[in-house]
Amino acid sequence: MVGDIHVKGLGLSFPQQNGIHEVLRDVDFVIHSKEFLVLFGPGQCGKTVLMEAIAGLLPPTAGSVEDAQGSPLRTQELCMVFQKYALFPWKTCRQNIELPMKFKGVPKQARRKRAADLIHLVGLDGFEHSYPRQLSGGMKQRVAIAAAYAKECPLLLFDEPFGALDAQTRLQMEQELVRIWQQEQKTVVLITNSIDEALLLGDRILVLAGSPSSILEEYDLREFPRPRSLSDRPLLNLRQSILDRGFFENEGGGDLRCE
Amino acid sequence: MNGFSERAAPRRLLRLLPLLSLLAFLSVWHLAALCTDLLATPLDTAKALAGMLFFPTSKVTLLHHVWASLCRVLAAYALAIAAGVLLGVLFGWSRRFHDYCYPIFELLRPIPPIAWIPLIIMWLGIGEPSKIAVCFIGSVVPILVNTYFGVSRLDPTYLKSAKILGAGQRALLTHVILPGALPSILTGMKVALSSGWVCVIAAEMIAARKGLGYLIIRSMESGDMVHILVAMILIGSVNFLFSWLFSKLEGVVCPW
Repeated sequence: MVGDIHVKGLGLSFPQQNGIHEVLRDVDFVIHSKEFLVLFGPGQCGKTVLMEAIAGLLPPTAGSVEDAQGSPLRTQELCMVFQKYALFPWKTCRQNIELPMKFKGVPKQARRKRAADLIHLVGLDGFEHSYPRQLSGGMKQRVAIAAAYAKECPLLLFDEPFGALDAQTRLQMEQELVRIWQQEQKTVVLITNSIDEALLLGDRILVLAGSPSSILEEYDLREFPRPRSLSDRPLLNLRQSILDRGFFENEGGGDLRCE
Repeated sequence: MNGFSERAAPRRLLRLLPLLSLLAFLSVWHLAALCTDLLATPLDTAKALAGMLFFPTSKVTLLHHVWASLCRVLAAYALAIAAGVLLGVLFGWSRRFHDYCYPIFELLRPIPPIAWIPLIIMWLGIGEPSKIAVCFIGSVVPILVNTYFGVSRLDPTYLKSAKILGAGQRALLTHVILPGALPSILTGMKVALSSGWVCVIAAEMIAARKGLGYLIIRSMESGDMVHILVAMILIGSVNFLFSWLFSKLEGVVCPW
């Protein structure tokens, strides 16, 4: 059990030809246990870099990511779903989902059973033996999500998982993600550049922007009942007030180069 | 426009096309043989081939010659796959090993395998090992290069994802790196097989008692054109057979 996770004074810079490019500075926030936290920011603001730092794929230049006991997160405790569905094309849907369990040493019988349950959970019955190239974008992302769930870890990180999907599929996937999250009781951190996605999904929304980026604002949405709809008046009001703050207006479009 | 004309042509005719082109080739060959004395006719060649299947040429029958060459090629091929895949993965996997050893490989690589023959004969004599060694040099290079290419071109997202999913070094190798590089490795193996054949023929032309390369050089010395043609046709056919087997194999091993 990880409990609350503290991101403390996190900074990340990359060397470049003309000096150092600072992507993140003094990023401070807490991820509460079992919550659905959304990190909302413009494109290229260092969201992916932040997520990879939390996942332990990138060592931070400053600060740390710690669990409640003050020790760094271990890979066993978390899983990440990548923006580009990182399924292994040489493995079938079921093999992809079984893989994290195989790495853990789960016996074959148990693996099969859990994989079948997960395939059912993400609505892919009948596609067990399909290879990723035979699946649509939405289905691939479902497999990736199921594989992340198969790892049985308390913390799940989603890096713009639905960015490449069409609007219809996206909405459906978002609703399903909430349903699965409610069912499976995990801590979820999701990155998005869509304000609507943030409003529909988050218990809390953290706004990440600036150059270098840091957390500019926090919104608590826990009193908004689920399932949410973007036509709900209070949600629309909140949406307007976030947009009115104009967080991304000084960004100058594609002026930021993080990744 | 090409697609249109193909659609317009009857399907049955399209299936016959390879046969027709083969027939055309044989007729041109036949005409050339009749008009000049530079070639034996296809029919004479076929007759000779049939005869050689049962009556020994240079002490053994034709299938024996094929078998002799084939054994050399396949022995070298097995060694080349083992060594090529191992080194290729190491080059792609370990930055340090790559930096230390790749320059040496780059230096040796452009030397044609056939240029190694004299040195290898001085080292290993004229027995089987020297022929296998020449074939090995010819086969290992394409396998190594393609394996290295496949491993180093692997999308880093796969590696990240595997790490996040909890893969250790060994699992990373067996579940991600090797299957990810497999299509590229197979390409290398395909090239290596024909390269191995080139080398075995060359090696047999220099020092051998049997084999297809020996048959060609022997027939040249005795001015026996049909036998040269028979050996050439067999080399072509065996290679063709292997390429065909390979394309079948690819679908089985890499169904994705």
